[in-house]
Amino acid sequence: MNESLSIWSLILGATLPVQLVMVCLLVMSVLSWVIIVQKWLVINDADTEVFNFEKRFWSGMDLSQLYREGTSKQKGNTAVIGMENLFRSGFKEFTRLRQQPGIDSDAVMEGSQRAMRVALAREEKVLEKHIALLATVASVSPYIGLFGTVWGIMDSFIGLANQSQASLAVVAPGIAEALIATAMGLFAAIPAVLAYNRYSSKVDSIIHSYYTFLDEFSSILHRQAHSKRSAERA
Amino acid sequence: MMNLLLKYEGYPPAVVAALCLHALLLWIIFEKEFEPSDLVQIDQPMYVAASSVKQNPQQLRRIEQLQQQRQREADEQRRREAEQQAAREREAQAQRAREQEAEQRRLAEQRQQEQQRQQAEERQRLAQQEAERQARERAAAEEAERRRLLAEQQQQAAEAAERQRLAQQSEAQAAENNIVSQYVSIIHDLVQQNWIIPPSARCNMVAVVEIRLTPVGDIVSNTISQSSGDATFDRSVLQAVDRVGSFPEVKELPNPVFERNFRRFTLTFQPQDLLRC
Repeated sequence: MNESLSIWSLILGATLPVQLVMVCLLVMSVLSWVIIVQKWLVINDADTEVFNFEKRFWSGMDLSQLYREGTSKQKGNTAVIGMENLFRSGFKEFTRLRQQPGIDSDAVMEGSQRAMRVALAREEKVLEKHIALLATVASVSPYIGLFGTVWGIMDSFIGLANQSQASLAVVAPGIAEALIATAMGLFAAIPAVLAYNRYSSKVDSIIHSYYTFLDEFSSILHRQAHSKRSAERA
Repeated sequence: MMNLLLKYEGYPPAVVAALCLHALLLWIIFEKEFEPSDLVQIDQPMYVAASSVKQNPQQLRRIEQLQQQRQREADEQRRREAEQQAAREREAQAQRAREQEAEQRRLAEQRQQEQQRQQAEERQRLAQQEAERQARERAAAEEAERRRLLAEQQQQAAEAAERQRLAQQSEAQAAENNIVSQYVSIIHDLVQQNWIIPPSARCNMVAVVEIRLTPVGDIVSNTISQSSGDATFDRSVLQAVDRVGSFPEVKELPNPVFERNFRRFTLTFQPQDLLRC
């Protein structure tokens, strides 16, 4: 064993099943990192949006003014996301229903709440999309790596059995190459576990704040619907 | 920036970042080479060969004498060479000194000529400068006079405009103040009609309430900003405001006037208006 030993030469010298395992793990790692970065962008954006929108909503601004601002934002090609979507769908439904003559204020409330729940389900879907993939990578890739390692070690022991004079130098490269598979599996799994835990707790907190907002906003709408009714009656 | 990254749900930057990360990792692996010496350091056993050595004292002495003689000869040779070298250097130095002297004389002559020429030029330049300076001064004086006149005219015009603007502003301000005081008195009356003065109220008590309104007249909050010192009295004032509930009158106000005066305003309550003191 006089020539220098690089990881690359070990990988190239590995048997076909081990190489397949390595390629598979590399693909999983790339995929999980794509999801990690993409989710990071999306969740961060949603988080800051929650903060900004709540600040604007409770600044005492007129609600129809707030709705108009959102409309002009959409026209300016800026996507309206998260809590603002909830507000817009609820408010739109509320104003539409109220314009119809002779409609009951309870029906108005129910309609706008339903519209908000639909918007909330959509937002939830956007936030939770692909997070399950991270969990899959995290739990499966160590096993795949272990499989590659076991296969590689088995191969090198079979080779050892065929030799008349056994020495460590015969089996060592095979075992080293097999252990690379385990290393790759762990490399793919560790960031995925971390990201999965972090993102799922963050998504939970964001959705929780959406639900809170939904309740607060429907109580405002409720007050408005019933006060209008009593004013008309009076 | 964030918006640009989130186009297509943020996938393109994510793909680029993931690929870059893995490319970097593969490159690091490429670079890393395990030398065999890095891997395992195995100490080879050292073999020491034993052999006998014979030594003859006379032979040793002869060799020593021969070496000393060679040493002496070499010393002599070095000394001679050093002397020759010194002689050559002295001669070269004398030659260089002569050359330098000649050069210095030539340079001194040249400098003197140069100085004379420069003095002549300097005198001419000074005369010219003086003429130019006088001309500039005259021009500057004329320009300054002209500017002064222009500035005076402008200032007068500006002052007139300012006076007019101030007059207009104060007029508008007066009109607004008029409206505002009218509305404040309406609101004050409304609240006072609903006010039940507690028996603990005394003539000299004063409570100031800060009220925040929405543009349609709903009360956002009302708090005591200056207490009368009597909690019951304060509470009765707040209850009176709550009982009125909203001031729909402010809806008729133009929006800027509302924003300036009624988004947040204060009402003062004194029982001496209602109690006979």
